[in-house]
Amino acid sequence: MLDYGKGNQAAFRALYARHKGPLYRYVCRQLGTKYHSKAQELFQEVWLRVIDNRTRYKVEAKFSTWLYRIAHNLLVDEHRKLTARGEHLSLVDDEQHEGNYLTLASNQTHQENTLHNDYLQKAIKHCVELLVPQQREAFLLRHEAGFEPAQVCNIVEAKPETVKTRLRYAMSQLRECLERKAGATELGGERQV
Amino acid sequence: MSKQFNDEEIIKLYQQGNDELPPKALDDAILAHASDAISKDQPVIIKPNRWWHYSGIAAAMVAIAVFAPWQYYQEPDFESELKSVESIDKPALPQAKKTAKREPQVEMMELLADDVQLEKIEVTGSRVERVAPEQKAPSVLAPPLEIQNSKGIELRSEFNVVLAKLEENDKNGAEQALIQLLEAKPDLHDMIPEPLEGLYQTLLKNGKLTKPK
Repeated sequence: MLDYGKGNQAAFRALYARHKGPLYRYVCRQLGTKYHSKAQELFQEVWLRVIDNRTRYKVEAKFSTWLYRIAHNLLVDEHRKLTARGEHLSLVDDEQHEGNYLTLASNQTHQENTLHNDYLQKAIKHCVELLVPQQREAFLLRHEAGFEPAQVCNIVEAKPETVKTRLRYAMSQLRECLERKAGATELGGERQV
Repeated sequence: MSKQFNDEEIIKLYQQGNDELPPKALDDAILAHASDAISKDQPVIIKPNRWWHYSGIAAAMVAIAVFAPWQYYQEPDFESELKSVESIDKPALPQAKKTAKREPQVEMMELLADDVQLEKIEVTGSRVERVAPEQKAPSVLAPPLEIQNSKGIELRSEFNVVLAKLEENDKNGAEQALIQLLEAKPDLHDMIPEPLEGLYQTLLKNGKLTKPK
């Protein structure tokens, strides 16, 4: 980042190539599939802020921490806007919309394992979207971006105990969600993600 | 009975096939913005307008080209003036010494000539006066001598014939010449030079010559 601040365009390309995937997924997961276009807009806004603040960047923390902190702040603002408009995703609403998602036929015995795995992958992503925003953010920062719990604390500006609790609750929610979906498939009928 | 999932399985399941990337258009837009921002940051090197430097140098060169030959032209004159002053200075003092040994008539003529030269030098520049201030002494003394000498020279030229005959011991010739001269120019009765004073008195006593009233 310091190199880019001094005018090295290649340094920015390297940074962008390294962080664009995890950050994009983090932003998209945080806003959910319903707001995919908004997530892309927010992702671009994060990088524009990085570019605009290139000369003010100081080596006080890792670049990735700084990057995700910008993203975190923008997401918090966006959540507030959505909450004010009453459009924010709620667990109840999402549970009601589950039927609109991908449906798989349970009687397709061939390719059962592959399909089952694909189903579980889609199911876990859907379960992540159903998490409470703070728990989802902690989970994504820990397991999507690969931050240590201490770094997550810095990004979300929360105490370590709070982050640990959010992570623990997030895992618990995901487990319950997955077991519920997996149990539904084993009972037969249509698989609904 | 539903399958039980532990934390590792959940995380592994989440990370499998998790390869979503931003669309190419978004990548291009962000990279273009980054490139534009850098290009805007590049300092625009404005070459300072140095026309006045070059014009100043040109003016200096013109001034040198114009005035340098003038200086070369002036230098020989200055040197020649100095030489002329030196050439005048050097013989001036020996000449002053020599004059003491020569006859008064010759001495007066030479001093007169020296005064003429010194006056010319004084007119050409005050520098000469500063270089040889001692040379002003004869020029200051010159006017009274000049007045006396000019009259003396004229008188002597009038009495030259008489003096020449007297030097040749032709006393009669000298007497006749003096009588003729004084008859022709009675004003010369009061201006008889010393060498002819004795002859003049003799002629007056003899009655050959009468002094006009």
